[in-house]
Amino acid sequence: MASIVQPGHGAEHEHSPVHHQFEDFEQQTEAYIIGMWSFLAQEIMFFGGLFLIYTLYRSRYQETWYQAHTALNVVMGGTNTMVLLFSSFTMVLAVHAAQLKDKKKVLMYLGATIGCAFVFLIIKFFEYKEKFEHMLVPGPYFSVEHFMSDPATRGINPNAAQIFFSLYFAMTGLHALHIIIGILVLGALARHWMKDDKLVTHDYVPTELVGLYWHFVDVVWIFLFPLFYLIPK
Amino acid sequence: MAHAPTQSHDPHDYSHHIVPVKAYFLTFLGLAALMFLTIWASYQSFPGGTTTNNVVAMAIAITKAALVVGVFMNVRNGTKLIKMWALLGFVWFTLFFLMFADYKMREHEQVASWTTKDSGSAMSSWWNTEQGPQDPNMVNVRTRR
Repeated sequence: MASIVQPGHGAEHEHSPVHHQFEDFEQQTEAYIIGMWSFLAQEIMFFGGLFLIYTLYRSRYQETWYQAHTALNVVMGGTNTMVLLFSSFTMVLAVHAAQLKDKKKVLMYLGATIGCAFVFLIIKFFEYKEKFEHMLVPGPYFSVEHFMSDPATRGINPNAAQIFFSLYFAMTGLHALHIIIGILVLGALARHWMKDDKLVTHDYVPTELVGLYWHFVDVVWIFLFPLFYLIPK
Repeated sequence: MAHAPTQSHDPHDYSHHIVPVKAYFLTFLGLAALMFLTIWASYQSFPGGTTTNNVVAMAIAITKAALVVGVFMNVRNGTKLIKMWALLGFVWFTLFFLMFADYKMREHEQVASWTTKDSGSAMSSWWNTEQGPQDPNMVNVRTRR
């Protein structure tokens, strides 16, 4: 093995961001990104199971689901969509700043991304609160009266409406959990930057990997928004 | 607009990967425009009814997701292996087709607790109440046992 080691190799690359098991920076970057995408692929399957249940029940109870979705607040959901899209934009700017090794801008954009994540959660909190107040949480106290006041909606299946709200809470709840984990990961990354940790300052890829996770959370919401808030008649 | 640093001979130089901020900003604008388009589209009555609305909504969502994955997640500048890996995660969704093949075939051979109107025993109690539409087909299926 010693024969393939270049003379002075170790000393020359003492501060190199390339770890010893990789040939070069390109290979290391590809391995990092593929590792992250492997994680994201299983996340897609994780959410995919819920999307599968959603598709099945929506196809069976289109009419009831249309009525049930009128209880959701499109303005709040739309605002949250914009907040997440904007946070993806600030995240990508943080990665861009990391490539230019501009610490001040990285911290600024990471801060903006974390801020957007909190705004998202606050709006989500008020949405959930409204659902609790309107007895729209699945369980013994579930009631469809809130959106059944119109006589034209008579004949909707309250059990199917309950499935709608079960999936609403399961899917947006799992998504919100990803936002909370995202805040923690973004916070940890910002801390590495603040401490001038070579892990992040010498190599932009760790920042990029956190970005991949954050954009994935955005992609999930891109599908959740039309599926729950914008059900056509 | 940020400019990439001049090309150096540093083996760890990755300036050629840097995408200009303008591209990101335009992508963000595109995503925002598509969001308003999908809200508008959901209130339209397209020929073909709900199915067309669903196809339009999902086509817009897939376009948005492709923009995020391609530009923000920078898969378009990734290696072939990265592109394949990113695509692979979504291949799972083709299994939706298999599941629906199963459910659609059940309509040809109905069993108790499964009719075209009611897809689960959890629902059955409601169909036999006064609010429920008293589906005669449902009753037949249940007594056939």
